[in-house]
Amino acid sequence: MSEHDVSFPAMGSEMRLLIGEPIEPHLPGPAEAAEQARAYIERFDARLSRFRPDSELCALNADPREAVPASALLRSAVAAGLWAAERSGGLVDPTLLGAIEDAGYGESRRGVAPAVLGKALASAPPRRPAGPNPAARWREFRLDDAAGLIRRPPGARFDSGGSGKGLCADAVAHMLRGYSRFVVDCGGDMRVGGPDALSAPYQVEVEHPLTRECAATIPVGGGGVATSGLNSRVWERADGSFAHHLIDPATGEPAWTGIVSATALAPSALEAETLAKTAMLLGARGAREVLRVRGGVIVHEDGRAELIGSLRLEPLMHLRVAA
Amino acid sequence: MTEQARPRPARRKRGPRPSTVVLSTLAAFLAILAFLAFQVRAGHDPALSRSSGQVAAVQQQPKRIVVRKVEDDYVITKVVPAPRSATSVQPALTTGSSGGGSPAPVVTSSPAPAPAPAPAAPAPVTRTS
Repeated sequence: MSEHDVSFPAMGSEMRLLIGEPIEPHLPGPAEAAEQARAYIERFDARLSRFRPDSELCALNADPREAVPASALLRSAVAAGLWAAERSGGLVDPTLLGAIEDAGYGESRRGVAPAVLGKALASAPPRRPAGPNPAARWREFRLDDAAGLIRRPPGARFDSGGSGKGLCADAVAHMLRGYSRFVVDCGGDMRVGGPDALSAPYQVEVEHPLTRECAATIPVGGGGVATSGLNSRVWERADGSFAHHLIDPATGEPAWTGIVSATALAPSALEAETLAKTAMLLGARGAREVLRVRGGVIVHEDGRAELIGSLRLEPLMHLRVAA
Repeated sequence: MTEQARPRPARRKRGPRPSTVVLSTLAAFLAILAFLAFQVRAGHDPALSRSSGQVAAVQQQPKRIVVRKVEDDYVITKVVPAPRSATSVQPALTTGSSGGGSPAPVVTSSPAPAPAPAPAAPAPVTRTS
């Protein structure tokens, strides 16, 4: 049951692909499939990164027109971000780019060591759940697929953020659907698939954000797993205060909710990423509600890992639909 | 004058009584029904029976199934409680609530399925992105 296993940096994170043998004879071998998937991820990153001035996303954000021509990929990324905002009741807001930059995350933090999370937690403001912003600008975005346009008020900027990684994992999973088993890990947003994975699930380890040890192991035979947390994107500001990249839409400030990471299971990586971030923003009490149905893990500030709900997506049936 | 005896009309042959007919029909019906039920329970459904010759003919002509194109896979899942076992939860893991609010539904123990053979590659890890 050997698989092709390749890791590489992209999207400011570490990517990993695990690909088994092809099921259908016309498909290339796992190594070639991994190369194609890697090329797709790198193109995805190049076109949708907010840290690359030549990306299509930066061009959209800088465009003074109300209706901006956009590729299908950019429209998909915007649609994914808007879907995540709807799904989370406005908590996962893709239009908080200004607040993120104000918090000190204007440049890529790839290769920059994060601040010590314990120190940041010690000086953080009182814990409280985040809330949506009723006047959030994501509600002003419109997609016009027939005309290939994105409509939004000039100045409303979009950040694909985590939803982009989830979308990318799902897109690559779609490319690999003819393989016996596979894992697409886009920096923690993971998609598992293939018929062999249903019968022999991957044991996905959840990394503890404070100790880097394994906090839990979840058997995953298909679908998405994602983790959102504070430890990898936390920094000290010039005034000595600490900030991170998970912004409370209600205040525009980093959210300190009492938990340091949340892992979610869902049918897709995009949904798992959305649920994980929603859980992080709501704190322990809200996270239990959000993760109850699909299952997940939260890690409290004191290091306790709490297993929530069901942690297994058991296949009920597997349909192959012929055209 | 003697009265000549009038010929008595021939006595009409009477059929069985209606109750007899009903009872006989019902008895015959029940008998046939019981027989058929026995046959069906024994796996010999008369409606499905075929002579051995027909079966052989069918077996000689295997069905051809032409899959033109696989368009997509759909995995339909249901959520079931995860097993609490040494392989699925690390010893460091604690469960329970953290104070405010009622405790979350914690994974309930259930018989763990037979462990699947692990892939050769190191386990995938989900971490904060």
